[in-house]
Amino acid sequence: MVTSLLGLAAVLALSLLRVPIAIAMGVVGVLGYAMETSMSASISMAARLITDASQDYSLTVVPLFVLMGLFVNKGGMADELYEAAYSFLGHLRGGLAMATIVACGGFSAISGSSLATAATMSRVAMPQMRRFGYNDTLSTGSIAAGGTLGILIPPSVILIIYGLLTETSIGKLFLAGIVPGMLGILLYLVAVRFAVWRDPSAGPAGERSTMRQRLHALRGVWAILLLFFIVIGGLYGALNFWPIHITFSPTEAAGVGATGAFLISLFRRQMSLRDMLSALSEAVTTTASLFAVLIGAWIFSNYVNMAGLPSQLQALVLNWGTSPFLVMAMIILIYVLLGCVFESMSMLLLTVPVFFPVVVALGFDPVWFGIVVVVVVEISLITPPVGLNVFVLKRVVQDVSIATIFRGVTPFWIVDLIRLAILLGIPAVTLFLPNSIH
Amino acid sequence: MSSFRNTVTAVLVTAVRLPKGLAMAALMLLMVMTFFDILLRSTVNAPIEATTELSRILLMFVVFAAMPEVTLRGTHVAVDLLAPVLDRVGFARIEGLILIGSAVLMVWPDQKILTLAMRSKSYDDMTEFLHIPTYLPALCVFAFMVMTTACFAIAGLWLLLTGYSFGFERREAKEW
Amino acid sequence: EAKYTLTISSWGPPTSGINVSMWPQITRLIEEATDGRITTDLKLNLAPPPAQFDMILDGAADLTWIFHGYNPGRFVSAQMIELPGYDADSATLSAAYWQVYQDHFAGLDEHRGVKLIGLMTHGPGQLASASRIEQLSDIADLKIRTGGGVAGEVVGLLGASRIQLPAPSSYEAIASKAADASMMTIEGRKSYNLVEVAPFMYEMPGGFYRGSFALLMNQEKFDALPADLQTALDTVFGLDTSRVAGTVWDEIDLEGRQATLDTPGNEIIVASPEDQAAFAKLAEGVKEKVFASLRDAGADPEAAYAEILSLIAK
Ligand code: NA
Ligand code: NA
Repeated sequence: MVTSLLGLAAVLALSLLRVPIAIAMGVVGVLGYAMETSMSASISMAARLITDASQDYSLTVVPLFVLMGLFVNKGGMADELYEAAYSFLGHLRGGLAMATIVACGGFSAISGSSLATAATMSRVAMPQMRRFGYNDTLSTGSIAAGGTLGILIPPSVILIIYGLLTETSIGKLFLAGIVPGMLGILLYLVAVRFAVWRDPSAGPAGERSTMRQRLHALRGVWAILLLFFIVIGGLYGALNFWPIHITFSPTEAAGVGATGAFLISLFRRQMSLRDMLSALSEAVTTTASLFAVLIGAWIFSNYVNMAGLPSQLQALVLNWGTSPFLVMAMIILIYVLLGCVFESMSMLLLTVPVFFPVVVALGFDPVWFGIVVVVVVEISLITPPVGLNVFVLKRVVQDVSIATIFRGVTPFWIVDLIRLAILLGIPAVTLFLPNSIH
Repeated sequence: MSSFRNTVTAVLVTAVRLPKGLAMAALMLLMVMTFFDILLRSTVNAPIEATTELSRILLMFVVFAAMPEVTLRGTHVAVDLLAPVLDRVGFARIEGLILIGSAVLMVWPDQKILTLAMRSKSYDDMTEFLHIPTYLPALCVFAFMVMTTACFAIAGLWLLLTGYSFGFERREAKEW
Repeated sequence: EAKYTLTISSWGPPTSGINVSMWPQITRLIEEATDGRITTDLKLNLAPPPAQFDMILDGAADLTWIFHGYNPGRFVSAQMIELPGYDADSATLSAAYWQVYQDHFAGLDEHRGVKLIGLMTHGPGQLASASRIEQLSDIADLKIRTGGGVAGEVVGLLGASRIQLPAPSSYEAIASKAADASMMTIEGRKSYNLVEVAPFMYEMPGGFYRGSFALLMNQEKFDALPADLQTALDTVFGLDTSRVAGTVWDEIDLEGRQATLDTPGNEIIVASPEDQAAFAKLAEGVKEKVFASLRDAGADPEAAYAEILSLIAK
């Protein structure tokens, strides 16, 4: 156990020296595995995992969902979504920030990534909020926080990776993310109300839209609704047009979603050939870096497994006779602390191999744990000093300081902790939906 | 000197763009094939039987053919927490050494990937429906991994000699 | 006196019969034969199933089990035991498999580089479907998940569309209607929870196919053991190990059948005598094809087949 914890420490140390995470985990994993077996055996194990990385058909879900998100971005669908949310909420105090939250939630339903959601919405919502005199704290805070919803509300690349790592049903994970995601939107709206209650000048009211304007704006979101309906409907058997019944698995949903986003963007004449190529280019480079880390994580988790860390941790917990809930609380605490420093995907890949077996052995539900982990990862995206959503935003609005954005996300960060407590205390919030449909 | 550097940059960038183009084409094909598989299955009850094995081959290109570019550009997932500190103490050149070290360490797995591919050839392994010998995609993985290894070495050497990340005029934070 | 621990690299769900029952039983055989000087340590999912052979060959672990069908083209002789129609439980058939392999297929050297310590076959593969299958000809309209090999061949000849996915993907494939049915062991109805999505089991006595597996050990690890331990191991490896492994499939097939009977809405439909006869004719064609490929590989399939039949007749 000592050696594998040293291994984990070595990976963390190497990562902090800016060694690519894939290399850090791969090297430590290979050396550690070699200590348990032999160097040639360990190299063979690593080589086999590299060669087999593309052999699992279900892994095609990763590049296809990434591609779907990029096509959606090119398609300009976020603008209409924001307009619609604005027409209903804009006249309230803090209304634009609330519209931003709702639009982020809606956009999350077709985007698998939080960074993409934050980047897209900052382009759309920031100019509007500036126009109406919102202070930078509230406007950037709402975008950075709203963006985190992208990985909880399905589809979600992080949930997919969790599902692939732990052999948990991706279909169930997606369903399980919906209610906590809605809860997130609700609590973020509360956070906005709180922010404008404390400082009314932070978010002055905008113009009230007429009913006609609202209906018109609603019509603009057809593309997003259609895409969401196709992907989620197809996943859960709702596309039943007798005699044709279209259903598909999460893997296939990614292909359908990407094709749908592609066709819609073409149809709306929003995407040039250049846009399409840049989406494809970004999708393959993102996939390559994701898989590099994934392979590194597999190698590292093989070492951890071989060294017997998960079973030793379990034995330790059982021998101490600690309550499972105390252990869970410890794990969450570790996640929140790691979340200050680590980027979302690395954090997930580093920790899941170590914690997941313990959590399952203690009798927790793997789907529930997946959602809890993703919520903690969401929190990490806006926790200083390394909050990726904050950094993404900073790049779009260069004249706002990082400190201002972090101050802006504080109320959202607090309601995130409340949401985490709710999910920990009442597992049914997460599990009701996946357990009622199979 | 600067024009020499530009030429080298241009040549290397082109060299990694070619396989990335393959990856992009494979991804587009993967998307279209998945879509038509579902369409044919839902409308005329005739799925494309070879979908899963073709998917695996296309996925291989998507995953590995863009790896050299990601490596050369230094856009692998990395933690940037200490970046300002590291830059101030001139860590960039040591980072170059780390990248070169990574390249050296990758030589062994690379060799083994080749061994495994040739072993699979000796066993006559093939795909179920199309009977494509499986050592062919495995050899492609080998080729892309060798390119990736070379890119680690080049990126590291560049950093070591110039103090800048490959292709950049000043030190830029890596992002992903 | 030195003690040795053999690392088992296993796969499949942690709760599967292989991991819960087969490895512990084989461990007991090993411990008893060596007076406890050798024991084992079970590790799950170190590598995907098709990679397990290489893991053992290169010493990344010491023991494993492999499904021959995951490496198409490599294990030609495995098709012999995959043929439908053997009237025997898995324990008997697995023991016969070991015997016949020694007599007829060892020379093909298909497991070269590793030590073959056992062979096994799972119980008769049956059709798990979402809709009720009344007769054999209904199968032609289905999209069926298969793992390939003889099972894939059979499904193709029955006129159905094949979707080639590993067994654990059955649930998702049927739930998402990508497939209408799965060619599975009866055991899989329980362990992969197919009773939920595929309530109907169309049963062909003797099965639509069987599955072929091997148990392997790293050769260097074996050679490095003291001579007396090697001898002790060799008394249990082979016939005993194969029979024990087969027994496990018999046990868990029973559990799968019981789960089917216990789950409301589930039904077992046994093929009519006419359909059985029709299938036997089709199976004859599959057999000819398998025999031909075995002859190409340099084996004597007729003699091997006759030996299996005589061994299971006892
Ligand atoms: Na999402
Ligand atoms: Na953070």
